Amino acid sequence: MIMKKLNDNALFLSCWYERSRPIYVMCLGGLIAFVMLLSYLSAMQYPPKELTPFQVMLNICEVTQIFVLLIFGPLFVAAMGSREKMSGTLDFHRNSPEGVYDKIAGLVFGGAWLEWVIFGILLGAELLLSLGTFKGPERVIMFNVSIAISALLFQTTAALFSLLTTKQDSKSNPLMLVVLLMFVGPMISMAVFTPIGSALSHVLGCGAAGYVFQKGGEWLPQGFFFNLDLPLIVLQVISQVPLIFIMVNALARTFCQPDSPAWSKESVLRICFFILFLVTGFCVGAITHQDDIVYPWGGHHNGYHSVLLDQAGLYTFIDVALGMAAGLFLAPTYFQRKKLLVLRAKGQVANDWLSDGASAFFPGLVYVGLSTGFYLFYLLALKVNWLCGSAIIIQAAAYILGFTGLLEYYRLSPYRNNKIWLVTVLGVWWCLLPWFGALLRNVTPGGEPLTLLSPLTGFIQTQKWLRGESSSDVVLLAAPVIAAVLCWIAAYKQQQTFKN
Amino acid sequence: MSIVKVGSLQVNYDEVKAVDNISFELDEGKIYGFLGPNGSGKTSTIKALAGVLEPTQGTITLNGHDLQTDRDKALLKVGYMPDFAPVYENLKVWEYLDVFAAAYGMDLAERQEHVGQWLEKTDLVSKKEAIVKGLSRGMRQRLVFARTLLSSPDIILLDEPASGLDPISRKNMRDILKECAARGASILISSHILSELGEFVDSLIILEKGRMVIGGSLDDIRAKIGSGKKLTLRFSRSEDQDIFTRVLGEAGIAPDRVRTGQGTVTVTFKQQDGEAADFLKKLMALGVVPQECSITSDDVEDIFLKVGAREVA
Repeated sequence: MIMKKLNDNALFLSCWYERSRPIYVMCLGGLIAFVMLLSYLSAMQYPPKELTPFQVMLNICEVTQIFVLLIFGPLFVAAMGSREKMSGTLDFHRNSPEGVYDKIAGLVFGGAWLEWVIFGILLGAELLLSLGTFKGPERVIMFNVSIAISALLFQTTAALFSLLTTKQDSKSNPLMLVVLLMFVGPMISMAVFTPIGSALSHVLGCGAAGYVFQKGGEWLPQGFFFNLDLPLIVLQVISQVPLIFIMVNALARTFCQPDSPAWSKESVLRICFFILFLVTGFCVGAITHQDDIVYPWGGHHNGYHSVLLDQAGLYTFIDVALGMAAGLFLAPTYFQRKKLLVLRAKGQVANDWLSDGASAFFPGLVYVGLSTGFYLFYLLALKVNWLCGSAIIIQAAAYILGFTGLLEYYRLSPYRNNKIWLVTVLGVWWCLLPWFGALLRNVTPGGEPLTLLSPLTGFIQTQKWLRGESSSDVVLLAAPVIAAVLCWIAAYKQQQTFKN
Repeated sequence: MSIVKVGSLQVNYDEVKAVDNISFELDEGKIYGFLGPNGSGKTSTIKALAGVLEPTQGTITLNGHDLQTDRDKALLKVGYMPDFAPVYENLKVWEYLDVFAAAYGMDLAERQEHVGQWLEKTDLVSKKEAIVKGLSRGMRQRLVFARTLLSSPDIILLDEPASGLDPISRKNMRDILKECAARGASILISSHILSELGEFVDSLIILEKGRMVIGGSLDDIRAKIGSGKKLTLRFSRSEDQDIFTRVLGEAGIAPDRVRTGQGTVTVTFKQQDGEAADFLKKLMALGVVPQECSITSDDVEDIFLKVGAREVA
């Protein structure tokens, strides 16, 4: 598709005009130049032995680029997106004949055009500075490519969340999300130096740091994905580019189908597959290259089995958390369901199990199938016996499908606007009954099934099964399975009532 | 020729049917009044036509393109003005118009020409460099009106466009809309100021509780609802008043069809044909010389009240 020139792009122009006031540009540009100058002077007060002034300036430019494009950029895009939503001008853009990808490009690049310009200026300066340092222009370019890809991901994400904000929400929601994504994410991933943390660090574009903070002429270790040794930039592309496409698709739906969920069921299943694929890829990479991994605290791994066991436990958690998050998008709302029934009655829906209004049951099963496929790797590698393996898989499936069924019932039922009802039911299901079960277990051995009702306490049991500390008894899973079946019976009944 | 076709349109908000299975067509070069009490579904219908709200069911065809399947082409020549004025607070007046001129595919030169033209038409030239935040409500309304017509749309959807406008601006708006209709645009306008609508609409669509009560040209609607003529008389002599009362009794006109006020007396006749003229002729034959005399049809307000009252009953 040929994109319109940005100076003919409506959303770009709206952001351009607002942010191109000379006083504003001078303030931001001046502030950045001032901070860079102070940083340089401060660094040269006690110059590091191994770094030349050129090298110091280059590092400052690179760090500035990170701040400007990855922090200011998404914040401004989010602010511009919120402005469209809050003022109601978004409806004008929805109503305009401009191509949807032009609209997306306008918002993403227009919201942060000043940051991209500063980024470009600093890139030019870095290329000049690199001639006088050991880094060389090729590393500067790699760093900039890495930053640019991360910026695209962050800015499309910020644009999407800002457009999803309702007028009742405060403006802080998308901003908080972006801040969370950028600050807390890397901190967690650095703190927990696990393969999952490493996956997260690539999703967050931390690979770029590898091109900045390098000692002498050495490259940082490459990343491991399945049994491949890949450069950081490749791992970043693998992690971020699919996410960018998913965000752009969601933005397109937000513009064209204002009352539908941002992600179609297909997109949700694609995201889930992609996340589970990444998690497994980095996990396999960690296991196959465990001797090469240097932990930041200088420790060593505790052996193949231990690493695999940790990863399997983590996978269980991610699988269930992701499944429940997917359930939020897969379970239809009253509006979508109503619309689907009308379309179906008129014979306008051919393949309807992935339609917005369709039941979440089949997409839920597909998710469970996907996650089981990846889970088999862990279970086979751990040489878990089939009974234990089945128990773990059934347990995870019961939690995911049970939650999705309850959500579907809730959204189609007369209680759909009563959040207290949902919180109360979940509170009883996941907290009160397991707590009662835990109390009961102290008195009699019969309380265990009740503790398995909750995914929170259920994980403890899964870990015990994986570690062989407790015998896996599939019969114990009757409670979560019965709960899931009951939820789906209720949801099915509600669908029937709804039809009438 | 129909430029807008709406078939079995339904818009639901949860269990509430805001628009309930309505169908209508809009012809080129005509101005349609879109009436209904608050909550009757006017805004939802206009939003659905403008593509900013997804209908629960139904088809919308704009300029021969289905809005659901061929969105970009369907919306190419549609101008939409919502019931409030969405603006970019921190942009200048000309910048605001320039943004939306770009959205309709105009290049820089075209944009400059169109923006200048519409600033002039809406009397905003003096505010060209002003920041939108500082504009009054009426000026904002004019600005959004200019934005709506900037791309010379073939289909113009206006939701309460005159609210907040002063009488001169309202007249200006009516003149502009008449010009648009003259060049072939189809205009759907919802307004609560019924007296003004009557001056320039060709047809009416009246909604009540989400359903279409009646639709068609003003004359067709008058005929359908049995709307008659109104004879208004002002007498200067007391004997004329006596003759009038006598003739009224002879003609068998019920007292509820006679309304008096501010020195005038108005008689409503049920038939559209010459009943009112015959009555007047009879009075004059008896020597009555009215100081003022007029025969008028039911205006939009009368039609709306009659149709609305019937629906509620």
